Parts: sequence; C-alpha cells; structure tokens
Amino acid sequence: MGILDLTAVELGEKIRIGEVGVEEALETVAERIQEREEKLRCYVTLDLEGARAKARLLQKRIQDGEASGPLAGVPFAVKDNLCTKGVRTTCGSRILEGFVPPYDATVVHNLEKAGALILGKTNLDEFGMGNTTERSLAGATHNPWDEERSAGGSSGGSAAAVASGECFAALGTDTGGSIRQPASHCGLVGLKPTYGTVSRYGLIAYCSSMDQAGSITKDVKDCAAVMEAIASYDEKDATSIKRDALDLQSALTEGVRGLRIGIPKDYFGRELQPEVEHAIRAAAEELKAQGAIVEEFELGFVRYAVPTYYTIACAEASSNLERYDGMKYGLREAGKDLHDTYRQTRAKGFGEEVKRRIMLGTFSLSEGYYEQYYLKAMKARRLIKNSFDEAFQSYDLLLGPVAPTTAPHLGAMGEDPIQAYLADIYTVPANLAGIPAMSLPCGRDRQWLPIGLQLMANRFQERTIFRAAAAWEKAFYGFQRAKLGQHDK
Amino acid sequence: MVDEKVLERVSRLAELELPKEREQVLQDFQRMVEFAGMLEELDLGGVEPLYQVNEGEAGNAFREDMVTQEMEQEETLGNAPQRRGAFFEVPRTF
Repeated sequence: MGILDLTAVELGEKIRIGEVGVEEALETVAERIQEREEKLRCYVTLDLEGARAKARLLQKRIQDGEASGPLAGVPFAVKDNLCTKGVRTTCGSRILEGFVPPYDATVVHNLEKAGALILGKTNLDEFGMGNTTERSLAGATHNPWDEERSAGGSSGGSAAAVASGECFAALGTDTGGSIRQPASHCGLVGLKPTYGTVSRYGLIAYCSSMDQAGSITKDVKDCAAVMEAIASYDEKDATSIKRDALDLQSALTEGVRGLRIGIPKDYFGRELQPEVEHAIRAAAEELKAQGAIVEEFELGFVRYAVPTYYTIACAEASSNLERYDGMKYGLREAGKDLHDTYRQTRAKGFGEEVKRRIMLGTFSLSEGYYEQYYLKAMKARRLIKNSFDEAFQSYDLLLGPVAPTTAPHLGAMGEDPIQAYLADIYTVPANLAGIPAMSLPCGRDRQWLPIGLQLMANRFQERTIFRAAAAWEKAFYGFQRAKLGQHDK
Repeated sequence: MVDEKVLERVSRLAELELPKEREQVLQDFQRMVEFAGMLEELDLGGVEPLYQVNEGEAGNAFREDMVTQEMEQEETLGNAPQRRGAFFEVPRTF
C-alpha cells in the first residue's frame, strides 16, 4: 500500500515510529498535486515551499518528542474561509483577493498545535454560498471520481483534495451542509459538530448562528482524531460552549446493539435518486442486523427547512457582509463619494449569488417586511428544532440520505436560483437545530459516483454518531475497501 | 408587490450598485422572495422565535473590561487599501 493510500492516523503512526518521514510524506503529496491539481483545482493558495520548511522543523520536533499527537507531521488542507496568519485568505471572492489575515483562526491554531502540516487553502463557493464549488474567483473544483462533475460545495476544494490524495485530511465549514454534501459526493467522512463545539473565531462569517468548522477525512477514525484536535472552548467566540471533551475513541468499538435509530420518512420524497435510496436503506438493514432497533417515523416540517434556512442565512449574511466596504481591507473601487465607493466596491467585488443573498437578506430584515419574512423564519426554526427534540425522545440517532442525488455535472445549474437550493433539503435541518451530523460513504451509483449516508444525533451526542459510523464503516469496508487517492475505476 | 421600487430601496440599504439592465436581477429577486414566502403556509401562532440554538446553555458571554494587545498596529493596517501613517485613509465622510 502506497503512502497516499494511508489514512491520516495511519500516516501519523508511521511518522511517529520513524517508518515514514514528514518530508517524504509531503513529497508524495506534492507529486500527486503535480499530477492532478491543474485539472481538479482543489486549492486557491498552495505553499509547498513553505510546507517543506515547516516539514523539516516538524520532523525535528517529532523526533525530539515535542510533537507527539496522532496527527503530527500529516499534510492537511484548510478551506479558504478560515483565517491563516500570513497566508492569503480569499473566501473565493474578489472582494478579498489580496487579503492576508493578521491572525489564525482558532481551529487553524489548534490544528497546528496538533502538529499538522498545512499545505494550503482550498477552493469554495464564494463566502460559503453554494453547493457545487463553481462560484469562486479560482474557478470550479472538479470531482476526482469524475472530472466532468462537481465535488459538491461549499467545501468542494477540501473534499476533492482529500479524495484525490492532494492532502491526507482537511478542514471544511458547514452552514447548510457544506461539509457533509461534498464529503458525500467525494466518498469521504464529513462531520458538522454540535453548534458551539468548534470555535468560529477566524471563520469568516456567513451565517453566524449556523456556521461550524469541521473535518473532511478518509475514514471515521481520522474524523475522530481531527475533531478532538480542533474542538475547544474559546473565549474569543461568544457562541462557544464549554462542553465535556468529545471522548470519541471508545465509541469506535462500542457497536450499535440496542441503539434506537429513526429513519425520517419525509427524507425519502420524489426528489431522491433511487440508487441513493437503495444504498441508504441497505445501510439501515446492516445496522439492524448488528443489533440496532431501526424504525421509520415522520419528522415533520422538512419541506419548510430550505426556505427557513435561506431566509435566516441570507439575513445574517447581509449583516455579516456589510463589513466589506473597501475601507480597511480587501478591494476598494473608488467612487465619487463615500457611499458611491461602497456601492461600486461591493458591486465589483461580490459575485452574483452573493449579491442575490445579500439582497434577499436585506429585504427580509427591512421595515415592512421583517415580520412577514425574517420573524416567520425564526418561528419556523423553532418548529424545526422542536421536531428534532421530539424525535430524540424516541430515537438515539436519525439516519437518512445526505443529498437527493450523487454529484451533478459542472455547469448543470439552470436559470432558476432556487433549483440549487433544493438540493440542501436533507442537510439544512441539522444546522437550523444546531445538532451534530455526519456524512459517510455507503455505496456507489451506476456511474461509480459516491453515495453518502447521514447520521444525526441530539446536541452534544457526537459519541452516538461515532458508534454507528464505526460499526457501519467496518461492515461496509468489509466488502469494499474504497481505494481513495486512485483515479482508475 | 415586490417591484423595481422595492429592489431600488433594498439596493440602497445594502449599498450594492445594481446593473443598468436589471430585468434578470429583479426576476431572480422576486423568485427568491416568493420561495421565502412558502412559510406563509405554516401556522405560527403562539410560536416563540428561535434566535440562538444555544439559548439554554450559554447566557451572554462577558469578559473583564481590560485592555489587551491582540495585534500590532502594523498588522492591523497591513491590508489597508489606502493608508496615511497610523490611519486608514477613507473618502470624506461628511
């Protein structure tokens, strides 16, 4: 098995015992990047020279026993909406084209503290607004499994980089499914933790009440290792929660006997691709065979989740994106006076989708429309959260699809802006309710495109997700070891 | 009625210059408002808005009112589009 076929934890172990060197691992990744990056476009900013210098220092620290964590020396990528000190951070937007943050996001700091070797910043839909990673100043990211298709979004660059071997693991962010859906489309494990678990300090804000950074990894064990490294209580994030440590390692071998798993009937509508449905149901059967109690139920309000999400997300985004005014950083397009400068800067700097969302958000917060739109959405959000609270009275875990289809073709987006939004139907509810949710591989369709399984648990119950995820993964890889990093079918 | 006047007002509030040809912009905007309007179907009588999923767990997060040095001045000014000494240089504000 080549180095690139290793998981992050496996590589970390080989580095720890001296079987593989940090620079050696880096060079195999650099070679893979040389082969595939031009077509795939996973990265916005790559700094291999910088990484080589860091690799030499890391190797020494590891040998001296200073960097001893499971991820020390492992090449990582970070989504380009997370601030990295001294390294350009663009959010995929022209309005931040030359922006170099003077500080690290807390998650980046945590990752570096764990000894990870950050190679660069990955591509995303502008400001996280999208689900195909096509709308970025760096162009579109291609799916390593079928280069004519999208890697999903908005963390498409991170997912494509892990799936193609251009890094061993990556950080993404998830506001409406942006970790889970690209993980699903690229055959990887993606976790959005309980809201408040991972600091948002340095995560360039899109929708503050839903944004969470998380991991995109090759397997469940890597997911656990990355999450344990990046989760922390942070005084600099007013929404950060002081919670018990994640304690995930023991969950990996606990199994699912007696676990009550609910399958929301309303996640299986006409929009769902039959092969996806088949794979999800097969996974449920396997977990049942392993001793879980599996049953269907009606979650409720699912059809209202997407309009609720978009109303709230656009409203918060319109407020968060007010800061891009050309005064203190980023693009400045000089106008005839102050307000004209604002207007020209923002018109030139923002892409069409970002502008659409700012407009909708501004509208729904404005006088005369606030009650009818924003306030209604906040109430609908309460109903959606209540439906989960009720579900978790009867079930420990909810199981369903991540996305209605497998990876779409690039350029498939039609004229109607709403069409793309509907693909978020199964992922946005977890963001609205603030509950943890994971996507993990559960099969392929006829085109050999990856299908993802979604597991959701109540707030702070990541452990329950990991129990089922590890149990499913063991069975799944028992008959299909997905060779990640290789591109022949 | 979500018409061009509403669009104009929103563009002013959002400080976003709209293109001269705004047919498509108006159409997209109307479509999005229509989509958001789906929530009309819900019976929301007596429902409390949910502002923060953390509402049970985190109160207001306060810290001591102490001056700290998080960043050097040069770092803060590092991305300034226009700068004069220790200041961001901006268009006249009044």
